Amino acid sequence: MPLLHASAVEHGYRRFPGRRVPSLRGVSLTVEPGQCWGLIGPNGSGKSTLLRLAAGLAEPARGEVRVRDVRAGRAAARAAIGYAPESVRWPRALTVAGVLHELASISRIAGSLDRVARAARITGLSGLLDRRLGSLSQGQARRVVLAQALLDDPPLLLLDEPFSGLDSLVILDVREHLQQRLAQGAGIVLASHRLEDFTGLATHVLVLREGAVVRSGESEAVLSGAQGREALAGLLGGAGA
Amino acid sequence: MSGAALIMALGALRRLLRPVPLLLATGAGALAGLIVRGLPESELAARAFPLLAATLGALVALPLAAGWICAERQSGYEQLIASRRISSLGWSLGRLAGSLVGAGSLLLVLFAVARVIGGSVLVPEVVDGVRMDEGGAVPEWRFPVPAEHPGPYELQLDVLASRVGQHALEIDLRRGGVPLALGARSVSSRHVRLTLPDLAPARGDLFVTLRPAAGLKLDTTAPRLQVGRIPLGRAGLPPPVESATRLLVALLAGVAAACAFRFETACLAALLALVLDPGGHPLTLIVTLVFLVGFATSGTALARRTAIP
Repeated sequence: MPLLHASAVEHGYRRFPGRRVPSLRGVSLTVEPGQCWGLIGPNGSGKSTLLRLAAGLAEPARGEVRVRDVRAGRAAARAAIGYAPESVRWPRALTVAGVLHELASISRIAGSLDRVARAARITGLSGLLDRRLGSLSQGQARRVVLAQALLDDPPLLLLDEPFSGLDSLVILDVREHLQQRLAQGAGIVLASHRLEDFTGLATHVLVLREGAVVRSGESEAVLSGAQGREALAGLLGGAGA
Repeated sequence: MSGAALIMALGALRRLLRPVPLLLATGAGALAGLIVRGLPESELAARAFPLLAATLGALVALPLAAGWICAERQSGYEQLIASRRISSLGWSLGRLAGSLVGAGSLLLVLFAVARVIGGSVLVPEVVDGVRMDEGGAVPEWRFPVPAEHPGPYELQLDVLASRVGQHALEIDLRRGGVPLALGARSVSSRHVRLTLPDLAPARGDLFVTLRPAAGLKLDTTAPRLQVGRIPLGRAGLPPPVESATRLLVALLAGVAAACAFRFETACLAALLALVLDPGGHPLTLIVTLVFLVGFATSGTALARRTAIP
């Protein structure tokens, strides 16, 4: 059973006066256990929208998104994912530990104290647990976003630009943890506009442009070779290539 | 209420009972108290306080209760909760209950501060005169003066004059068997204020005989005697019990609307509930509460999937 299956998904954002701007056009994706799919594409290509659909935070206009064979957004599907959006402005008055405990408790994660400590250790937040979120730097706040997604070791991780703004050491620790999770049979969908984020992590790559799939397949096939990289560089306007 | 709903309710409490909302409630309470201190009569203060406290309470509590939900949607934090294993019913119930308790606590802070500040103001302690002569030509009034209030006292009475100008009003006093003829006092306005001595060491009720001169007539209302000044006290500032249900429904309406819509819409919903006052009848109140819980739940379910444009 695939961890995530999106078939011919279409999605659009409503714009006044009733016009619909398409964000995804017939995108299909299947994530099996142990696979890490890298989503790459220029800004506005639909990477974040695909992750939001998988997290059940948006409805596809056509097609279907299923998590562990349950429609995305259902309670069972939500229980199977860890979602880290690209940006969150945290409630300033809460502490790092407070917000992580709150999210862990909502998810009914057993042993939430230990889980919070472990997620904090992976993301380098151990020394910041008592700090108020309003006092964190952008990079530190970004680490909290990652930590909350890793709290309960979900079978499917949906990570939107997970490494942007992080220190190199934290990136190494998080990558190591993600590789462990892959080895344990978890699935990862990782959206980034930088190719180096996928190196050593992504087993497969999906290239998106204007909401449509341009290329898809095993990362070596898509990214390796001068031809593949050149094509990607042209597609992404030189970013990461 | 499920565990997740309880966590949401506690989360709402944590967000509402922060220093800034508490400071706002305290400030509004202080303002209400200061306004009450400026009112000239204790009866007026007793009538105005519930309205004043309820209005300021609504101005502070309603936007705060709806605001934190809308702020967390805009900041993106809501989507982290939306992607987790919490039902829309549990989530909305938690937010409703937590916001209600949190906003209710802010209202209590506001009322308490207002009563402490407003209740400490000194107001005149006045006793009404009891007529003793049973319709005689020369009226005598008895004033039950509390033993702990030493004189002098202020006699307050209304008179009717047949012509403009000075009129004589002769006054005799008696207290504990000690008489005192004050003689004639000149009266020129309708509302008369006269200072009466204590007649110490005599204690007990004070008896006052009033003899108006020709052309002057005493009003039918009984004269009053200001015996001193006492703090208005909390009893003089009754809580806005009558507005409580209306505020409760408005709070729920604001929070329920905030579960799905923008802050402005939530405030509008709260205002609408305040104006319509659907809590007038028990059955209407129950139907309204059920509707609001349903509204909050469906709004939460739609908003978490970005199904509302």
